[in-house]
Amino acid sequence: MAALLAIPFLVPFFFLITMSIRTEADYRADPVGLPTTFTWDHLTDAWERADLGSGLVNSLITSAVGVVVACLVSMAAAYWFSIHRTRRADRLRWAIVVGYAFPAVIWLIPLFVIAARNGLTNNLIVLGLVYGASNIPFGVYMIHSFYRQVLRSEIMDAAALDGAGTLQTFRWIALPLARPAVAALAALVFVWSFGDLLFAVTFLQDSSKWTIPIAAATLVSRQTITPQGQAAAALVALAPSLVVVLVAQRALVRGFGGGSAD
Amino acid sequence: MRWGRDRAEPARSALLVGPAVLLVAAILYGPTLYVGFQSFFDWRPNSPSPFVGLDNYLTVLGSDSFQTVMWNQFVLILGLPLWVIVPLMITFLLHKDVKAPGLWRTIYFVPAVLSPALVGILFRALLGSDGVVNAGLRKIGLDWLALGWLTEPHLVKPVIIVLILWAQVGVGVVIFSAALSAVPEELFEAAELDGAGWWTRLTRIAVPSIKDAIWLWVGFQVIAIFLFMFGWVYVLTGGGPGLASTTIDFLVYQEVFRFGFFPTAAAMSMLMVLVLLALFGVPAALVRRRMRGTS
Repeated sequence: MAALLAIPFLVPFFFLITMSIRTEADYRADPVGLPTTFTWDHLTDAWERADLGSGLVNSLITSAVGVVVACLVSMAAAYWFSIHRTRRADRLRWAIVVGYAFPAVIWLIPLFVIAARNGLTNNLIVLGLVYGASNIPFGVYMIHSFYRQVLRSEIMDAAALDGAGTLQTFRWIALPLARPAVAALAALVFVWSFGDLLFAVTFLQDSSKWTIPIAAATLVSRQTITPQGQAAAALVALAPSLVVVLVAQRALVRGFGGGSAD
Repeated sequence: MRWGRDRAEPARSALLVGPAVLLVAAILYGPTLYVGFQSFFDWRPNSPSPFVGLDNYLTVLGSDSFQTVMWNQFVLILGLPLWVIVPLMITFLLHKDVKAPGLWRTIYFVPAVLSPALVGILFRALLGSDGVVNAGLRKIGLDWLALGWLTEPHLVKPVIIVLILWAQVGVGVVIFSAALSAVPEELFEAAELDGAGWWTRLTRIAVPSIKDAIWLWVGFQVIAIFLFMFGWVYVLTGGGPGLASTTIDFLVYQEVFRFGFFPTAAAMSMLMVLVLLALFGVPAALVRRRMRGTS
């Protein structure tokens, strides 16, 4: 039964791969059947036409910056909120977390105007910073929830008794303990930043700075592209995210399930 | 409760929360307030922008495109029952006697974390007129069903609803599974002994027990409809045909980057905020209750 339900989720990926590696003639002869030929052509063609190579590098840069910013800042803030349980701190945390519900277009456009005025567009690091910042609301929520379960008072009392100050406790206790949650957060922020389209098209007009989603999306909307070409572009664009997700999937599922699944 | 206090605590601890506050204020709140302010002006970046009061809002509210897009949003929300019921049923089906539930959950979950833009590119390849879906339909003789999934005005929105379902089911299943695992098995066993069928056990026991998780999920989906549609729309249909699949975030983007109409874009942004505040009140209160109530 579970296997049956899994079919709709696996089939698209199956076709994604087969469409990319068959010759056109083979595909036209029997689109739904198994491939009888093999060719790298579509992949290399898509790679060159859309310059997916530099797209990949650009995406990796922005995603990496985003992950680092989001994780470090969220961890630190979440820890601070775990040790300050006042009503004011709660309200501050709420103000941060509710930022998740701000539609990006609303602040992206004025931010773009300000950035353009200061020559900060077409800048991968700046975009990475924006990725990081936009994930802080979610990151703080996620890691704070985790800390609430994991930072038991005995640990904290012991640290205080040993004379540890706030920052020391953070560095030596809270940081290592948060590893599973941060792993999940890092994977999520990476995948979301890597696959983002809206922020990227807003901030990157120079095609040499394009990230993979822009490159692939531009390629597939051209008239002269075959289904194979589209599939090939999709495959190259999706591959890094898929790898990260499969590697981190246990941490991700645990993060969403609040630690009580499985 | 405070731990780790030393005399320099306020300064040092500000270091921990400072970056978060600064970044969120500078990148999320600041620009939002700025665009809100500009929505009352004839906003021309780098040029004089005279005050126009509510003109921009009136223009937007009266415009065909805005009304069409709001209608589109409403139609998309109609997908909610589907997005709730399917994960619920799958969760309950996997509830008992399934080997390696973790494996299946991972498989359903993967599409959820891939971003809409990339998944959209995948489905654009599959749903095109030459794509696998139509080819398969033609092969089994269902030619009349091989429609323009991404090009027919009446089809684009339902197609998007189904694609969102495909992408999101996994997260729903994970959330509901976690919630369901907290419900004592005895409840279900007793009901089964009393002769309650699968459907009864689902609707009378499972659903009420995980009501909070269901509401949380509903909240996520409503947010997603207003916040996370851009990738889908840009890649699958470009908003078309015409405006049939344009969502509000896509509309605002186009208003600025295709037409250069900053004032109306600003007004649209603020209207978006209002709609979300209205819709969002309930889920937000629930999330807050969860956050506070679980200590």
